[in-house]
Amino acid sequence: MINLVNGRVFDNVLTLGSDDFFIGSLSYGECKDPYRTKVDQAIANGSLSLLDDSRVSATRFADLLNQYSLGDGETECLLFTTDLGYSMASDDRKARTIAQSQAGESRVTGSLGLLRKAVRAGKLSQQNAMDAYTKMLESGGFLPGIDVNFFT
Amino acid sequence: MKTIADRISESGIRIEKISKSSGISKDRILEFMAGADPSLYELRKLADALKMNVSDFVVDSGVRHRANFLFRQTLPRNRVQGLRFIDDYSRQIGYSFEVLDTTQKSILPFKHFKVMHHTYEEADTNAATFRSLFCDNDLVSPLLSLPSIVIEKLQTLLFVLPEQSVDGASAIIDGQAFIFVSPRFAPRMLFTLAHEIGHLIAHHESREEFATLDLENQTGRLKRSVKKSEAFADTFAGCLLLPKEGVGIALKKIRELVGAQSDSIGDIELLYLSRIFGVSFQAAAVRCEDLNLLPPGGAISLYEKLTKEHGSPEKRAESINLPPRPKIEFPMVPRRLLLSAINKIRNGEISIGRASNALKLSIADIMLYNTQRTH
Repeated sequence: MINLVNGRVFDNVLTLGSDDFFIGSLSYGECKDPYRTKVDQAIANGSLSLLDDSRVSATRFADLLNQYSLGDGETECLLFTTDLGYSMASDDRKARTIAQSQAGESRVTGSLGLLRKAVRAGKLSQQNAMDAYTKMLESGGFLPGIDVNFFT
Repeated sequence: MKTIADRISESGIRIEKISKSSGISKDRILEFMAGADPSLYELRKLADALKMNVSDFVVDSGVRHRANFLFRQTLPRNRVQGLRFIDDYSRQIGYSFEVLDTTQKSILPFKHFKVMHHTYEEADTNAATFRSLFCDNDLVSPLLSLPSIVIEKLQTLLFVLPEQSVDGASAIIDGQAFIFVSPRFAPRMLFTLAHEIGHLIAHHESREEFATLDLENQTGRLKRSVKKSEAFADTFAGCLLLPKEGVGIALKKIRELVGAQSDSIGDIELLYLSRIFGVSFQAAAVRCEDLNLLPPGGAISLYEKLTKEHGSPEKRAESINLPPRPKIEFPMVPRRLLLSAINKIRNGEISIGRASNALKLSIADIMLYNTQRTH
């Protein structure tokens, strides 16, 4: 989410139309401004929803946290992916690797995957996506090296 | 999972109060305490009410557990309840080991220090050794850069954690030294830091893990503690921050500047001295007592006089337009830990969320540091 905001493409991605987007309460709690404001705006306009964490068990959360030593928000995201069938969007290398091993590669994506989806849906040009990627990197994003062909 | 009952009991907060602030009924909380599985929502609300993270109910590594035990041992049994700072310090130690690059484990440079009897002479000798080793043998100048010396040269992880009821704490766990200082008036923090170094050099020879806590107002006391180790740490801090030769040179210049006529040292000389060396008035005054520049009890008398007549020594300094205090920088996060975290995030060895918990930085802040690292 932080990378998408830094790349100025947060709104473009949330309005893809092909997916519903959710954020967990713990991840939401980890958001500081200016990102919190963007998330609040997205929740207010209905393009993003808060996950209902009364549907998942704390013991199961604890098990995943102990097993994988991710952050609180990342573990919450993993829990909804493994137990309730959601797909996970994360740019963190360790969190992605774990989620892919637990839920399968097809249910894990990240900012670059979402950008590519936006390009394929005609919401962004390849160059727009590449520019967003460059902005994300310049803002300190932990992202792999790619070229413009990634967005075809 | 660390039981909810344990956490509630350690917090020292009554169940009625937790129920009110969490919005969870008292009966439901009692069910959790009896072993019922809460939902993540309920755990989150409980954590909020106890001012904890949800992971505080979960993560309890061996290192963290050992640190917790050692810190608790330093306090009387009737004082160990509700002391959140012990959990905070222990958690920080546990997290640090997750982030640290263990292939570059440091060897603590403490072998040059020797403390047998906790005497003034030992404090003075060890302070001189410290300056000789880590300050280019400068036995005179102020040590305003002590925080960075501790981090870079002493290979110690220094954290500034806001804990109201503690001045500072230190520990050696699994061969790694840690110092915690509470954010306060910077000169006081500098003295607490030097005090904690005194503890580390005094304990290192035991070759065992150790931890020590200095509750509020236990460091830099006007009246020396009856506890030998505390008195030693204070004396060491005084010798380190206000070296005899440096104090002599500074006082000579100050007295010329203010046109002092009397043989005895007064409050103005001490206020200047405290500003030059980055310590409080009290620390400067006690050091002058140690150096026989003030009579025994002189520090307390002068402090009480200034407090009574001017409100505080700092107000007195302002009223006579003394130059402002020099800035003392305490880094928010040890650079070594930050660089190690960034490398590990890149390699997929630690997640950015976990590193955020460990470094007490937001994910966005870690990304900002990554920018600086990249460019």
